[in-house]
Amino acid sequence: MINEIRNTVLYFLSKDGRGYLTPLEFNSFAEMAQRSIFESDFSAYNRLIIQQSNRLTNGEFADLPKNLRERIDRFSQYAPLSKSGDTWTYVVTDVHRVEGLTYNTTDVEEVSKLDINKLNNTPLVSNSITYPVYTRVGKDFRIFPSSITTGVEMYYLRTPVSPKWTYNTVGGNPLFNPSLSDYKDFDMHESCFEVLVSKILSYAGISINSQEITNYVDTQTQLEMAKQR
Amino acid sequence: MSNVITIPTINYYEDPSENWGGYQYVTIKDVVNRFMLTYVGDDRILPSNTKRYQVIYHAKRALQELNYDALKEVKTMELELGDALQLILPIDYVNWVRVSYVDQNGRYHPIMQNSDTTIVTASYLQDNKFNIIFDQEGYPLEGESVTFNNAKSTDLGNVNQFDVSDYISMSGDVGGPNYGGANYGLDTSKANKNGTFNIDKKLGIIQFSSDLKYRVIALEYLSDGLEFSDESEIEVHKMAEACLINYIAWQMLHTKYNVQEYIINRFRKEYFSQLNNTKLRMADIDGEKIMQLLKGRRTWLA
Repeated sequence: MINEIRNTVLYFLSKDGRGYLTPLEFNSFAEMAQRSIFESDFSAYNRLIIQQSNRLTNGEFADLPKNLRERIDRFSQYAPLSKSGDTWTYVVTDVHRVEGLTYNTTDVEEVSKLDINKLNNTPLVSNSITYPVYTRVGKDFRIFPSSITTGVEMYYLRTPVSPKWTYNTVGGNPLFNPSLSDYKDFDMHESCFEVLVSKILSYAGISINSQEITNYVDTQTQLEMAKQR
Repeated sequence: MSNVITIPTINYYEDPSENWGGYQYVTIKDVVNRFMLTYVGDDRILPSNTKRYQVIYHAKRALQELNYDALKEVKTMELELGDALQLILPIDYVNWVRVSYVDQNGRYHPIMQNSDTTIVTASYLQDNKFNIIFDQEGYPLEGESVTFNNAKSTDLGNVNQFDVSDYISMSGDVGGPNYGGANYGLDTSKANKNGTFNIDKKLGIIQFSSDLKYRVIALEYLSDGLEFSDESEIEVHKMAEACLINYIAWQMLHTKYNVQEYIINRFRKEYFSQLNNTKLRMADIDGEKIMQLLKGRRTWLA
């Protein structure tokens, strides 16, 4: 997908001689665009859920929350946790957001640090093997009851892998070469093609100081948001 | 036992480790999981970020309330009474239903609560001037309770004898029904020759009169249903399940900010309606039993 996107972006930019993006600039803008879309997907999902609650979405292909969930779900991962003293830690390095913990087949519920002592001191709701709880301590977790020592998994969303358009220089021009070891395509769903182009164009518009490009992207963004409402 | 029958039936009947009769019940764990699945979510009555521990809390509170009001699942503890003439209340005791001694045929003989006396929590020693005696550290010295010593030797035959002094009016006239030497007006609330008991809820003991020494005592009592700490062991009868779920929903909405009053009311009404249904179901009343009760009366039943 990355080469098609780059070609489309360059097509827009080169029209009427507006400007050009070097591979380094493109890769930098591509990563920014990817991160921006990834983050904005969560708030977009929230809006769609509200719409769903108000019966403004429908089933099958009109099930917009499901479509967006599919887009986000590609980042879902499970990783085991290990206990060290009182705390549980993970070793994976690509954690973007922890969604929850499971102990065997039971959900471990997150409890805020303000409530955890009250909960643990209230026999009626106190933690149990049937209903364990956890609280975050920095990057780590404290899981109650402390008798749990193994079998805990973390469900998380990983950070998207940074895209990299790789090339060989032929005749002074960069020629796309996806077989290089550091090549990375966009780590996004196919449906993100258009929005990736828009995002990269908006950064490029600022970079090459093209008001025309910036205005175009702004208008497209507004229209896109209006469609979602 | 789960809600779905998955084991071969023969295993159930032949394996003593099977939870016989368990199909009548559903665990709190199941109730909480079902509630979270069906009531909590993005397009449901409670939002996705509803805390499970709050649901557990209300589920257990509902179970307590149901045990007091509707379920009436009476438990029985049986112990032999020793020289101390007292028993410790069961660990899950909430209130008593009936206290009896058990005879050689296994029949229960109800014992009456002795409301004329109480269990003394402190009986201080006094000197000859009636001052309390303290030890060197300033704590009062305690002795044996006169109340208990006297009460435990109470013969109910005597208690139920008419005591004319109880019936002397302010004017000095004898107002009691002691006419012609006969004992009229027996106090039926105490008319029992099986002995007496007294319960001290705070101390957690039940004391008996001395005529019950070495008898086997059966204490029928109510619990709140939470004697197990693990939610997978706490059970509720299936006939009360709907009521339990309605209570959780009502309380969850009731304690949540920004929920319209009519929604809370809707769930409140559903709960009380289900509570009535549960009471009726658990009351175990049917035509056959009523017929049996009425047999032998003057009215002929077709």
